[in-house]
Amino acid sequence: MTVDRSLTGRERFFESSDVIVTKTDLKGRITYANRTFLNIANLDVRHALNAPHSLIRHPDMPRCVFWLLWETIQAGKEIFAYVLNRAVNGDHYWVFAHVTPSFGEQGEIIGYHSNRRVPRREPIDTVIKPIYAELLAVENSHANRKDGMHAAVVALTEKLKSAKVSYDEFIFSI
Amino acid sequence: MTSLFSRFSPLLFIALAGVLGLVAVALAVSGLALPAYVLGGLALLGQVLALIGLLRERRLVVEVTAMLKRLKAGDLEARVARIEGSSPIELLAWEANDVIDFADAFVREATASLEAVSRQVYYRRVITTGMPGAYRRGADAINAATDAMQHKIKNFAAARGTFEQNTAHVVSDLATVTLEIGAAARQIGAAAGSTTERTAAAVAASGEARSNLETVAAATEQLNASIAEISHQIHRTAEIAHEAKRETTEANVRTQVLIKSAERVRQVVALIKEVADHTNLIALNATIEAARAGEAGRGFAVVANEVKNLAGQSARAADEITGHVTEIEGGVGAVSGAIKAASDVITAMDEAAGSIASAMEEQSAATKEIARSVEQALASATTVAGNMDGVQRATGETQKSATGLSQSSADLETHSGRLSGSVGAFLDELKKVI
Repeated sequence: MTVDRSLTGRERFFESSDVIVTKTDLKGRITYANRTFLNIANLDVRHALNAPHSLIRHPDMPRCVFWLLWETIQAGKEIFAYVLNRAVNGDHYWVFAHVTPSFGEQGEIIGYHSNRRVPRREPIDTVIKPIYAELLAVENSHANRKDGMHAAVVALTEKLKSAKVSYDEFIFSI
Repeated sequence: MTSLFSRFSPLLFIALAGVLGLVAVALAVSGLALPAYVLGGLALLGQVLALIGLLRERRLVVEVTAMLKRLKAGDLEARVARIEGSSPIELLAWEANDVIDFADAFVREATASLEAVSRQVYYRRVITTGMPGAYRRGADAINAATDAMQHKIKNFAAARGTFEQNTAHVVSDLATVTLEIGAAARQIGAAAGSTTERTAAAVAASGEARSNLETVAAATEQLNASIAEISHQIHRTAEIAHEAKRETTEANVRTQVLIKSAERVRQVVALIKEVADHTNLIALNATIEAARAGEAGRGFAVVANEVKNLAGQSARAADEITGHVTEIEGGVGAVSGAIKAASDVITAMDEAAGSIASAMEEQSAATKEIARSVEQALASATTVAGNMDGVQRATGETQKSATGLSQSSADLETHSGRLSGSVGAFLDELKKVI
């Protein structure tokens, strides 16, 4: 089955009083999605449940951001990211995502939880979009997707190092 | 089928079955003979559908109940994931999900922010976007607390920096001062040690001086006695000298008498010699005359000869006397010279005794002066010895103090080291805290 990546160029928005909530299992398959998610992603519950979270991946998102996201949450830490998502109808929407592991009684990771809030617009336009475009260009400059992603990770790391900030500090500073 | 149930409430099916039942009853009453099984079948269908719908709703109610139980137990992972319609019960389940979502979000945010604070990360604030009511107020309170903490920690860090700098200075100064005190204590100790040695030497010297002075005093006393004795003897000597002088003068006088007597003897002897010579001449003449007289004068010649012999003998005796007188004169002269020499010697001796006596007098005065000085020196030496005792005691105290000071300085060094260590450790701990 080929994944539909067609885009409409229409941007969707959600209320700032709303929070998009999803939970996934350890493999990233959706185990819970709230109504805000289903509405904005243009999905119904049956299609959302058990689907991989990459279902709403937008082609303009650098893969290295998701690599960093998974590295972080698999290490048991939280991560914040500005993310461009694709509704299944081809529309797109920006979120300020906060992804955290969910822990069991013994402190083990039993799944992941993502709260997405309405992002501030200004850092998206002035900071995030240029950086993502740059990272995406790095990724696309490699024939091998994996190589491209690693190169983009290195580029992102270098960028943060030269600014002398951690990724978290950077996200909260913009 | 599912979408059918999603869209229509069981109530609808119950209503439909009821309507069909009513229609069947009405038809039966009016005598219209629609086949009863058709109507009955429709009613049954409606009832079955209603039952299915009710069972679905019941499942949701059970699920929501189970979720609320988990929620009650603090399990914020619980959700009713599969809600496919918008019936009141389904909306209830969605609302329940939303409630838990907000609680879940708040707990995740608050936990993350506070964990960050515990790692001294203050930029991780509780995200309040989309957070309603009490959650929002709680989040604001947490963020305000974080703000305050960050502010305080910043101030505290500045204070810690100042403290660190100041304590570093103090510790460094303390170390320097301690070293200086240690050095000073060692110097004082060394000086006191040297003073002790010197004092001991001085005490020994003063003891020696005292004993020397005592010896001198004793010697002076002896000297004084000797001088008295000598004076006495000199006096005696002077007396004897005077006596001797008187006696030599007398001897001289007697010698002069003796010389005069000798001279008179000489004159007498010269007279005797003259007489003897004259006698001899006469005898010679008598002899000659006797010879002329021949035989007659023979006897006379013999007498004359005898006279001539006697005269010769007298002349010879006179000569012998003269010789003796000359010898006597020589002896007397020698005696006189000796007496004069003795007299001179005695005079010189007398003079010498006089000057010895005056010298002795001076000596005696000087010795008395020496004795007085020695006495004074002895008193001084005693005072010095007393003072030296004091100095020795004081030096001993000083040395003890210096040792104490040295020990104190070493202690101070240890304490200063410990202080430095403690402050360092304290600051290290402090750095871990903020």
